[in-house]
Amino acid sequence: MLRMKLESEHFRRRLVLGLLVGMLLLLSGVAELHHRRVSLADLDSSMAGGLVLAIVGNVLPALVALFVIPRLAARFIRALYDTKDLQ
Amino acid sequence: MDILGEVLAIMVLAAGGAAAVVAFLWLATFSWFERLVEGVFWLMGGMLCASVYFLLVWGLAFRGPISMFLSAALSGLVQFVPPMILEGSNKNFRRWALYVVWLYFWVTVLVGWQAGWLGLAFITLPALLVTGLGLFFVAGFILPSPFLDSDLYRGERPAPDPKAVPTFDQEVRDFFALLRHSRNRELRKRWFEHRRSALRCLVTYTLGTNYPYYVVVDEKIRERTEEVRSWLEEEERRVQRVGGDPFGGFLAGPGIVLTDCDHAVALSTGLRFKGAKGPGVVFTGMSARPEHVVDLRVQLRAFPVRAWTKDGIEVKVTTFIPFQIGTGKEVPALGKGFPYRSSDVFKAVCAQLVEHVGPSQTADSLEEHAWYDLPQLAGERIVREAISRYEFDDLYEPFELRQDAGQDSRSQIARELREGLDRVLPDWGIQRIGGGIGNLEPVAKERVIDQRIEAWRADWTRKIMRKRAEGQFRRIRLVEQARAQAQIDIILSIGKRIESLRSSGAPVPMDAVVLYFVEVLEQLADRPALRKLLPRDTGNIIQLARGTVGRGPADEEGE
Repeated sequence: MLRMKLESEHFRRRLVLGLLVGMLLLLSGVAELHHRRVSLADLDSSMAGGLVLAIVGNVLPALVALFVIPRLAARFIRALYDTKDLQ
Repeated sequence: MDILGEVLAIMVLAAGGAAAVVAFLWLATFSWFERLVEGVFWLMGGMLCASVYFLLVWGLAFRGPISMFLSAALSGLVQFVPPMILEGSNKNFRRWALYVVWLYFWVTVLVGWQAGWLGLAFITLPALLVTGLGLFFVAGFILPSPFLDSDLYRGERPAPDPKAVPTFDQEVRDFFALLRHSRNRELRKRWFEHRRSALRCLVTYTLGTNYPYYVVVDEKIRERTEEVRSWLEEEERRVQRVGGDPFGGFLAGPGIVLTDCDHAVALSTGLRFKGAKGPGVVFTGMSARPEHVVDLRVQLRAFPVRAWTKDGIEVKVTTFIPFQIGTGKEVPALGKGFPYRSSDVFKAVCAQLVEHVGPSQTADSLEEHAWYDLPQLAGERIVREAISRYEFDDLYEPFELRQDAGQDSRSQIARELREGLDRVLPDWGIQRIGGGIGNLEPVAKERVIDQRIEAWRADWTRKIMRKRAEGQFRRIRLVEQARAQAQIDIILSIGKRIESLRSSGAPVPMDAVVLYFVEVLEQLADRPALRKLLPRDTGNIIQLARGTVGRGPADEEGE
């Protein structure tokens, strides 16, 4: 029961994280489309691949931060609370 | 013109970065001096970056994002300068971390710059916000949060259960309740300041400039599965988890001390007492460290006391004293740490004893008595003193002899113990909860009879010696009185005879005076009261003296 509850809690937190990343991707997409001066209607498959790569590339610094910050916190917690098993 | 525009843009972006860094450092509670230094060096780095980029474009025609990144990477070396100047001796300082932050900023800027000004707004700014606020958000979870007010929802809904596992929904509701209600202003402030302090801890820990982190542990679990635990001494309870230079001054500190709800710590710089802090999360400043761990729970010390009765018989008694650090009559409450008075902790810490054990006065023979040993030391002395006023029989007399149940010797000794402790413990910052003694038992039961005989004999010996001394005293006094009376009689008698001879007008011959003196002696020696005190041959000596005087000086010359 407790495990299910924890799984549910984890899922909700990941969902919020996913929403944040989605929002970043959306903003990045808007900026990229505006930069390339194309609209979604004009997109074809050859352009879409490059656009997706550019959008993901734009979000990369934020993703790095989202990856590094929890690890910094985990490192801090491991040191202070002497928890060896915290990932 | 395009080049100048790009250079200007770099400078504007550097200024924006400096502002962001200053804002972040403010959020992390760093001082205005640290913010100023970092802001200035970011601006200097930005200007340097613009200059290098201009040279690369103008001199080498090397233009574009890579050129801009190289300029930033080169000019970012200036970020090493402040730590080297201000924290040159701190070996733990990860100076490259500031450089990494600089590089991250410019990479983020360049990525956004690819998409123009809109890219800066939609890519760079969100990335920087995610980084800064993400650190702020995550910092809230690395240290225990202060207990939210039980009236957080101001009657709208039940308060969060502090013992329950926090759920995501609950956290969101708590957060909005914290922001929504105007009466939660103090709580908001406390929550915000706690997160700021935690953020600073996270930043300085990452930089390696934190002060040491300590954790107070109550007991050592030696085997987790079998719950074999051992209680720890005060020194062992203070565990240093993270090292650090406690004297760092730039982008440094604080230190952390984590305690349970039943422990406080006495902070000191080694020269100055900084007060008692805790329970909970305690942030320590420069050069401060937890010198003493103070257990706030009720302490119970039970110990045997050996004492001597008035008649010299050794007895032992188990004495127990429950006590705690002074609370000012405040009682523990749910959701709060154990109460205590900081002034009492100060007194208790100052009252701790350090004394030499044994005749050696070297540093090796020093023994420290912590504050929680002091009631035992005082209790031993008080019980010994109280028992010494009782004879052995008094300690075991039947209760029936007492009209009041509390008047028996054991109750009186226990009362003396409590009263004596109440006289001394408050000055040591310690509050007595109770106190009493167990059964009084002779140390050597089989020798009690012998010891009582010895005591009886000693008492009678003392009485006999006293009687003898008194008799001797009376005898000497009588002898001296008799001697003085005899001398008075002799002098008066001779004086009267001389006076009668003078009154006749004839000259007083010396041999007649001497002869009369001998006659007086003879009369005195014949007195029955004196005769038994004089030597046996006293009469012969007087007769010899009379004969010698009666012959006169001429007869002696003739012989």
